[in-house]
Amino acid sequence: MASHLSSVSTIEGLLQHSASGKGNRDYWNIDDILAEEESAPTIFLQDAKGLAYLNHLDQINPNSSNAIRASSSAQSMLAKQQQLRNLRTEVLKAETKVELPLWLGIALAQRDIVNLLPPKYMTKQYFNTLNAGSEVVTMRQQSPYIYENVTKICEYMAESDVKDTLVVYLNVFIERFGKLVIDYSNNSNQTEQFSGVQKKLTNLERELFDTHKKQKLMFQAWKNREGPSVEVNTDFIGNENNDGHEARNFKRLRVQ
Amino acid sequence: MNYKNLTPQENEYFAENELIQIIPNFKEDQFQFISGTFGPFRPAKPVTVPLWLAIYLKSRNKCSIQLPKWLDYSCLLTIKSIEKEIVAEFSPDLPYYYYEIATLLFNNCSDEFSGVGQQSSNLQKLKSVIEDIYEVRKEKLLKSIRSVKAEDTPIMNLSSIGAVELNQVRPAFSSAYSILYQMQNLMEQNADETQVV
Repeated sequence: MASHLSSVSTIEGLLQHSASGKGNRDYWNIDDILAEEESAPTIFLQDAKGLAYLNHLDQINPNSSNAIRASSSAQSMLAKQQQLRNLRTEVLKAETKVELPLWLGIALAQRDIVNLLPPKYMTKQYFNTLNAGSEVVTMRQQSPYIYENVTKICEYMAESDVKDTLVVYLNVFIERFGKLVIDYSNNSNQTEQFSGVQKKLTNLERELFDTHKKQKLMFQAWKNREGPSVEVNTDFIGNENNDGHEARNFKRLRVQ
Repeated sequence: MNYKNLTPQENEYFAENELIQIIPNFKEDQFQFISGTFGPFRPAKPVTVPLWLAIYLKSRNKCSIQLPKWLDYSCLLTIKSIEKEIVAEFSPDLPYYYYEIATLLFNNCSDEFSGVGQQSSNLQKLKSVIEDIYEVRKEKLLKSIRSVKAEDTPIMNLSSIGAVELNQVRPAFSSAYSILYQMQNLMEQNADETQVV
C-alpha cells in the first residue's frame, strides 16, 4: 500500500510550493507538475496574434470527441486542416475567455497578458455547496489537485476574496480530514467500503488516507503478533544515501 | 514531508527499557549492563530492573514481577473516567509506554494478574479497560484537529500522551497540520499585503 510515498509525495508538492517561496520549489515533484497541468479559465487582456485556435481547441484537438466524429470523411479532414491554417493566422481578440493550463495562465498573468479568472471550485456557488457539508462533495470531480491549485491561484490573485476562499478551504480541509480521511481509515476494513470514499478524495487526501491506514495496519499487526518482532524501519534506514538533494532527485527520476 | 515514524515494534523495544520492580527468588551479585547496574539480588527482596530483564527472569521462573501501581483495575477505571472528563488534556497518571508495558506484562506474566482474592477474569478486565483508555485518547486527538479554527494557529496539547496514540496519528496529523499552516500562512501574507496598500 502506498509504496510510492517514500519517493514522491503529493503533500510535499503542496508544502514545498509555498514553503520555500516562489521559484524555489521541488522541480521534480511529479504531483506538482500534474497539478499545474489542470486547466484554469483565463481572459485575454490584449489581442493575441495567431492564437485564435485556442478558442477552437475542442474542434481541432484530435483527441476530442468532436474530432473523431468528424474525421470520418477525407473531405472534412481537408476542411479541418484548412480551418486550422486559417486560425493560425487569425487574431485572438482581447476579452476572450480561454482555458489554459495553470502554469501557463500564471506565467501570462504575471506579464499582464491574461487575467486569471476563478475556476468553478473558487466561486461563491461552489463555496455554498462546500459549506453545506463538504464531506459529501466529490471534490475530485472538480480537480484531483484542488487544494494545490487553490493555494497556487490565491498566490497570484490579488483580490479581496482570497481570504474568504482560503477560510472556506481551510475549514473544508479540517472537516474532510476528520470525517473522511481519519474516520474511514480507522473504521473500514473492507475494500469496497472505502473505495467509495476514495472516489471523493483529492490526491492530497488520498495520500493522508494511505499514510494513516498504514499506521493502523502496522499497529494491528504488532498487536496480533504478526510478522517479525523487529524489522527494518524504512523511515530511518535506507534513506541515508539520499541526503543530498541531487541523489534524491535522481531517485525520483528513476522511479518515474 | 516528514513521515519519519517509529514502528510499533520499535516502541515495544523502547518500552522494555522502562524500570519495574521484581522479587527475585535467587541470590546473585550486581548485574552490570550498558544501561546501568542492577542488583544485588536477594530472595524476597524487591529490586528494580529493566522490563526486558524482568521478563527474561520471569520466563525462567527466577522471580515474580510486581505490577506497576497504575496497572490496577480500580486505578485504571479512575483514569478512564478522568480521561472522559477532561477534554483538552490527557491524564498524567499513565506512563508514556503504558500500552506497550501492559501488553508485555499481559503476554509474559499473566499469572501475576490473578491476585489474592481476585477473580480469574481480572486479566480480561484489565485488557479491556486499557483498550478503552486507548480508544478514548485517540478520539480526543481526533477531536482536537476537528476543533481547529481557520484563523487560529493549529495547536494540540500532547503532554502526558501515550506512545501508541501518538505513533498512530503522527504521520497523517503532522502532514495535515503542515498543510493547514501553509494555507494560513498564505492567508496572512495576503492580509499583510492588503494592509500596506
